[in-house]
Amino acid sequence: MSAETHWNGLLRAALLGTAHTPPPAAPADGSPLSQALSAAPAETPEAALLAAAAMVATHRRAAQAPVRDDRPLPAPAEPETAPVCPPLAARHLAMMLGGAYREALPEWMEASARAGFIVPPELLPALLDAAAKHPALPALIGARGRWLAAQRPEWALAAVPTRPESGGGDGDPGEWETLPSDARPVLLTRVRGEDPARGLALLRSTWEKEAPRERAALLQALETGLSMDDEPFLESALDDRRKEVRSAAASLLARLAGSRLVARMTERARRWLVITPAKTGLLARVTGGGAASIEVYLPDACDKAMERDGISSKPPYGVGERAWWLLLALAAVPPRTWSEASRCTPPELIGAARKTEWRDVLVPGWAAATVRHRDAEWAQPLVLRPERAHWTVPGADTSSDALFSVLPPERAEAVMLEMLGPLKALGDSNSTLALLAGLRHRWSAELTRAVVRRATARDLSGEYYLRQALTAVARHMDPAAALDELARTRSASTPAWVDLLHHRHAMLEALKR
Amino acid sequence: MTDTAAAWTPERVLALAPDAGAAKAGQGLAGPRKWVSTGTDGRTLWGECQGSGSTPYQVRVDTLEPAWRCSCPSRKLPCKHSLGLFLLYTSSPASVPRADPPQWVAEWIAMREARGEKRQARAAEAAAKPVDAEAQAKRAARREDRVSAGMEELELWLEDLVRQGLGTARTRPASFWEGMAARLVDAQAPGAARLVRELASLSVGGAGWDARLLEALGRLRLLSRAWRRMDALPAALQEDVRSALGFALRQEEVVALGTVRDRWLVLGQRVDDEDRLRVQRTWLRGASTGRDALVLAFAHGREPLDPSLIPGTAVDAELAFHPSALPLRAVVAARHGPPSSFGAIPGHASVDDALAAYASALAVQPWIEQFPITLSAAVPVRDGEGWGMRDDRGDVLPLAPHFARGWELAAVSGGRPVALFGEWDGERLRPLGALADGRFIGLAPVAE
Repeated sequence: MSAETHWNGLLRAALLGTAHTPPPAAPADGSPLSQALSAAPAETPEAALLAAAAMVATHRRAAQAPVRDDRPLPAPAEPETAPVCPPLAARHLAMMLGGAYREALPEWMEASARAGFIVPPELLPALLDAAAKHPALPALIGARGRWLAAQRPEWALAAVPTRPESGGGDGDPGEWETLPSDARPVLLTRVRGEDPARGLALLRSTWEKEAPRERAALLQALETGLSMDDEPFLESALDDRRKEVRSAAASLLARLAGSRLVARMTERARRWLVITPAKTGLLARVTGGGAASIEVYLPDACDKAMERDGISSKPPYGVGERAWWLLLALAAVPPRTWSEASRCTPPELIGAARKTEWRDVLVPGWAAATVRHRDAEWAQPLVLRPERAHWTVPGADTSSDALFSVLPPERAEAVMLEMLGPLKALGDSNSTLALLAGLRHRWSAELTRAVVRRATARDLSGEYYLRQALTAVARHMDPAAALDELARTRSASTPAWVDLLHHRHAMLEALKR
Repeated sequence: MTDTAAAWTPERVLALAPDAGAAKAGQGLAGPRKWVSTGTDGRTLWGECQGSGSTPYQVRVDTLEPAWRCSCPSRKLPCKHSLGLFLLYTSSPASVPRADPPQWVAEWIAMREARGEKRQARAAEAAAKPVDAEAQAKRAARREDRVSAGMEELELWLEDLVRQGLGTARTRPASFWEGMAARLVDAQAPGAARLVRELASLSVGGAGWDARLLEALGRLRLLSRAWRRMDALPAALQEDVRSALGFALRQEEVVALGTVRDRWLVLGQRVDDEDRLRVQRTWLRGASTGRDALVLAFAHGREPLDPSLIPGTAVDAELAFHPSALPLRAVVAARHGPPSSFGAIPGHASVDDALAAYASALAVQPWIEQFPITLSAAVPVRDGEGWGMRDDRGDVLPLAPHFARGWELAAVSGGRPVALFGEWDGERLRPLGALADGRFIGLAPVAE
């Protein structure tokens, strides 16, 4: 009789109660355990049971054998070739992964990847969970990270090398096809970021086989590295059976000034919109008719060709059909078409549009086109005098943030500095603050100082909104310049936005090589 | 004076922060502009930090212990000013110049030295002449009588429990267990009371609860039996019985029994909540003696726990062990230097060796609850839903099912053997720290 059998007998008696089930007698196999059990004095069955339980349980614990595993061990990770980031930098990363200063995580990832560092292995699981889709992730996780990610479906994406060891020339169809469907657009974006042509080839290699509902999301990934090389493929996608695919293709083509779609839209819009340039000279001044004027002639019906270019979609509630057609067409036409054709400046044209009954359509349409074609001459007047958009163009962003981002950083900063000039304190102008939030590049020291000086001009303890806004913009400031400026104020109170600056400064310093 | 401050690094200092908020705020104060004045004598750092009030806060940090004192009203230990000064020093030592301590610092140093001497004197006194031996003996005898009565009642209660059956026990209300625990507290056997409370949670446990409960009942009865047959037990084991029942020793008494000096590697630390008491368990292992030691620290409510033993560091210190047949529990009697790093942990080469060590330990002290195990080279492997540590023979030691940091462990190993330290409860290993590529990784549960 083994210790195990005896234990089970004891357990059974204990469960049912010794009142019903007497404990089993000690085994008589002469083993040391059985001898000890027999030698134990026991006045009552209960005492005998408990004494035996103590002995047998201890015996079982002491006799526990390890579990044997004879499977071959999985191959270990390849050795790393890149250096791990310094310990203090790792500590900062751990803090952010733990939830503090989470907004600075992307900046840390980019700076660390730029410096050529990888993260220490113990932080890989949290980083893979937190930032699976960040483009800097593959560079940061190293061989260890790819090895780890390959063991868990949730992390599969990170394990895929961006350069598939291709067998078929079009990338590695094996891996490309077997990835989970939400990971494939992310991988495609990553490949496009490195080599747009290879990305397009990868997409085309499986396009015919893709499920219709996945096509739109995959097509959207062409946004990264978009160029005229993609035009023929996108043009053909305008004939896709699924509407989401057609409209995704149309809005990508609308960003390519040389595309056939833009040519068709331009041709259409120029028929619909007639601009009379400003008259100059004596007569104009006398008659007072000096400004440019705009007239609108719209078709009565939406033809097949318009529909193919993405114009047919039903207008949102409250919008006239024809106004909608005009909006969608304008949103695709490079805005300089209008300034060049009419020899008017963008501010003159915007002014003229605001005088017509179509201002709700013309200005948002141009704004969408300005963002799509990244036209700084148009963006500046639109940023300074924004139009309240009543509706949005599908696939285009007309927010003031987006318009502001069209301006090259130096130019946007110049605009900003000019607006800040007359302000004593930041809280004096909400619109300035709103625009600051749209400046997403790394600010210059000059702008940083100008903002910090005005942020500390007044006590902000009561101004919750302002402090929130500052926390949002503090991630774009030049931390060294900001801290230097703050040090002049000698205030020991550290609101959240100042904390964030300290953190960013320390974190970037720790990543210097 | 030895230069102990230089041994610290910013990340080691940040590990001292009582919470993430203090770490954040401390980093914010780690710039020289925040400080009106700073200085160090090599061991103590001091500085004046301009707060919101008119007078600056006076901050003092002893880098040996470490210990701190700040004039700010914060109840966090260390406060953000102490952390800020410590961080400032570790990240740019040049901004904290060498100087003689000003009076307000010298006073603090003198006060701490005086306190240390007093403690030593008290220890020596305690060892030399017990005060009023007669009264003490009388008190002790009275307590022993109470405990004996408590044990008698406990045994009857235990026997009654198995007479009715564990199935019935599972349906008992909380008051059934709590009542017995309270009576044991009255009987001045708080250790036994804690074990009874544990029975209550075992009785409502998941799969395998019945076996765990029966085992715990058996061990508890073994304890009460041992109390009743004390004279027949070896002297060292008597101490284990007394400590399991809740007879506590004063720190001076323990120190008076002698100390062991070694380079102690701090291998793991975890904090358990017991009612309103937080218990911090810190495991050490002697680099040359190979001895394991467990240092306990307690804190009520939100009081800070002792931060001076930092996992992943080694300290040159003298430990005093509580008397036991298997001495593990210890107190730090004296420290001889600041924390340093270590690159290797002496441990068991195979799972078999580790389990054999556990069996030998059980043979001398059958009430071990958590046995320290260090595997010197094992690979973390997936074991169904959980994890296990596999040695080079293919033997696997299963890890606790609630161990939530398996992927981190896998990540640091990269599929290669690592050294792993953990607590073995007889069935599963609860990892607390690992050493991979010469780096220590803490694996205790992350505090919420």
